[in-house]
Amino acid sequence: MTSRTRFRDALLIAVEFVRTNRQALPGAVIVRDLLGRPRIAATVENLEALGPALDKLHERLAAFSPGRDGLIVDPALLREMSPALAPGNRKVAGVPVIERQITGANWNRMRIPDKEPQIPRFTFFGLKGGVGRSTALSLLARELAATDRKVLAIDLDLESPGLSSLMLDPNALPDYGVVDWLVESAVGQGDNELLRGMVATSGLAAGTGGSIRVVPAGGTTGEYLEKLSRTTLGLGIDDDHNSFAALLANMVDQLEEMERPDVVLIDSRAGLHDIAAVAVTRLGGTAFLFAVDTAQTWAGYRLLFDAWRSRPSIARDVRASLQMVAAQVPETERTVYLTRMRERAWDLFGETLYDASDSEDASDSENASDSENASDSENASDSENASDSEAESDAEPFNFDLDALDAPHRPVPIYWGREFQGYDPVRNPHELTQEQIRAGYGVWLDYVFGTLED
Amino acid sequence: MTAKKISVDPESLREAITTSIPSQTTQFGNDLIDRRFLYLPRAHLGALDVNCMLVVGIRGAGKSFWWNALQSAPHRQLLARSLQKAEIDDKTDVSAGFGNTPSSFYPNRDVLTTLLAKHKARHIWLTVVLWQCCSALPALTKWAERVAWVTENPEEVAQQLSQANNDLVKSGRKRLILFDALDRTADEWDKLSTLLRGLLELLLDLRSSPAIRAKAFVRPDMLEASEITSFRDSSKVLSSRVDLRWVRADLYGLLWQYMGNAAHGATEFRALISDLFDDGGTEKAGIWTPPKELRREESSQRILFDAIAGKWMGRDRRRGFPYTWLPNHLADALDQTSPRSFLAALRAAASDERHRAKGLALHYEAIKRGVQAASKIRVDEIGEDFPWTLLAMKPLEKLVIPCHQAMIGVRWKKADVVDQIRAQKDRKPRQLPRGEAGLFEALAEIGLFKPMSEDRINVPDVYRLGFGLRRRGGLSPVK
Repeated sequence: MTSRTRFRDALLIAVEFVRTNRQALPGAVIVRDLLGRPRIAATVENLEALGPALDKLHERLAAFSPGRDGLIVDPALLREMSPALAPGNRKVAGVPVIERQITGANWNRMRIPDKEPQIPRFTFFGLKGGVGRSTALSLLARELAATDRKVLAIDLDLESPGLSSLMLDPNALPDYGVVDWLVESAVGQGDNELLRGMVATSGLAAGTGGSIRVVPAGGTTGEYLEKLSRTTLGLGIDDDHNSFAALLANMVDQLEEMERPDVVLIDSRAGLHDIAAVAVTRLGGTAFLFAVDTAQTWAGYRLLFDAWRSRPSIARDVRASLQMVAAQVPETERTVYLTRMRERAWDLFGETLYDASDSEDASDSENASDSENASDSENASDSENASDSEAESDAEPFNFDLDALDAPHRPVPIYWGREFQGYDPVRNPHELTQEQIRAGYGVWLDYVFGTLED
Repeated sequence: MTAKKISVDPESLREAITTSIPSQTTQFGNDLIDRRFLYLPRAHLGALDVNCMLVVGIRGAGKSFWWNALQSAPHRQLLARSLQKAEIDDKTDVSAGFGNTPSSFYPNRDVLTTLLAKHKARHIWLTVVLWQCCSALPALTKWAERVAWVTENPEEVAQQLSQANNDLVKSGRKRLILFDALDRTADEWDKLSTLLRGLLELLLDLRSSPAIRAKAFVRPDMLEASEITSFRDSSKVLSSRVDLRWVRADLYGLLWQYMGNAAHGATEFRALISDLFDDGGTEKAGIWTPPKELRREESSQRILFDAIAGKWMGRDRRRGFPYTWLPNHLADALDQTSPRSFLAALRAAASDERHRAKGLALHYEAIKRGVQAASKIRVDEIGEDFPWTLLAMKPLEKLVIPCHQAMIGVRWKKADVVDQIRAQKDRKPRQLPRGEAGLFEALAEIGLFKPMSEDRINVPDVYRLGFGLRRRGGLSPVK
């Protein structure tokens, strides 16, 4: 072997080592650190006997070795670091693997709420900015208020916050925002007094029977970037109770308790980022995946969906909350555009999150005998099992035909319209007519209201 | 209108389904339907119009159904008010020019084959029409003699036809002649296409005798072939076609018609409607008709079906909703759902004793079983109409779809499918000379294959289940 040991190789080498020496390593768990170096947490009776094998392992791991004597760690140490093996942790070829990484960790964790939240939550998620998420959110907020509902809107798009400018008069901005919650609660000051200073009333609900309350990313107290840089640099990542995700989930829970809204709308960070991970996987409710039909969109979602797929227990939990939205559907050839999008979205869901249909041996490998073009041949060592503590078994496979109505992959369309560009309801509250809103957002609004009626 | 909490006996509602919808073997279509279950979808009114020459419908859409019902005076009477708009009334005489059942009114398949050896197809059909509406014809009893006479006496034929038309006009009457089951006119494609084309030509000719009307019920695929449609002025016939489409509201309207007239459970079903809606429907001469609201308004239909089958197709809303799920999963690749499949699925669902939901007539699992049962029936039907599809689909069992065309091609080659179909005696796809490529086209044309981007193929559930194909999934189902 002349090639170097790369990031991925290191894990596979360690897995192979554990499998080969299973007898000597009861209950072994592989822990990958920040740099991707694997350690094996196991109670070893006779370390001496393993010596030559460990030498070899150290050599093979090369740059990814944590050091010859750091290869085996005491499991007790592990328990101190992290209270329990989170059920979201995966297995590679039957060997449990725990990740120690700063970002991306939230994708791997189970959703915090065990049950669907009592108050309907809608998260607006997109891999790209500028596809009209915030516009959709503020229009929906207004429609909800018009049906006498109390709406709470939260801006979790911390790196390019924009919701407050769409929904709040600059003079109405509260003192604090989401970033304040993160820095303050890290030092134990995430309390109701802070929460009260984070919410402002939007004028958009004026004249309706409802109300819109907005939590901006940052408030008038400033130092936004200073706060932001601290929030994203891994606050208490190794501690589940104090993790970034838990802090945000906790914030939303407390805001709900304080505000008692009828509906919560969350604008999520665009892109593959921890905050988006939190919003989609940990807050519950419905996650609208905004998409435009471009190669980047699908490639981006593919990465995300693959990450879920490799953790089936999370995938099973998350997939039912997802709903594709076709954003900015062009004015011409709408049917062609939407048909193509439906196919792409179906490929994405079908190859990652939907169950293979009904029967036991249904799998992609079925077609393999006919052709080398087996669409997605998994590396054998990568076929990770769902953990033993698999949630309740689900008799009905989660699988939808291409043209199935009401399927997660079937994009709910929002039509592009010139009138929605530069939409600024704070300055021009009556800039859009009801007809224009219906024409662009009608199908999608009906979808949302349909879910609220259930 | 909002749903009220009401309690209905689920067993009665199931009975209303099982005692009205016939089981598979006696499924409606060939036999005259019981008048209690006669339902006229709004979209079919145009097809029934006396001046509509060409009616197009997939298998099970109601071609034979209307062929039958229009010939029956009691049925026409029942629909009198609707049929008035279609200009069919008690002054219209209706008869058959071809159909699934043998009759002295028209030659059978074997006779047609021998006639075709000597005569033009148009003359054969013209003969059938003449012998139904003209009185002063020579006393010939054999079709061969009649067609020969028609062929040899064009002038007299024209006179007779004109005379018959004038007589009808004078007496204020009309004659409507119906042609159905046209795929049964011949075994071989070239004969069949010749006969069909001849009939279309005749339809065009008959436009000059307005009191003599002809109506042909055909399958959509029959009109795809250029052999059939490439004659002078063919577009005049083809552009007048009316499709027998079944939209969702009509499928449910049909279901209410069945349930409300069932031998058992109808009373309970009607009571449920009265509980939920202001108008409980009307009963006349022992035949109940659902209220207009429940025939046209999807939102109202949904409330009623929710009361029968529940709100969700699973434990949560993400599995879909029974009202939309059922017709959606019975749709073919051309997005058409046959009422026969729809009713068959419901009957099977109501008969499924293994899956029962508390307080509901239909459990979602039973509805899924119903779709599986309907899929089997659908596969049998398509096999009757297109026997070659069975040969083409057999090697695809357990194939995971969607997949690239090439994967299907590999299986077809392995099983010698093209040659096997070539060796068939009759009713081969007309695209067969182009081999595999022709088969792909033929399967897409009849709504079995759905071509996707990048040369991939999907098969809609209504066929996928019955033919035993599998759908791709990224995760293996949890046991």
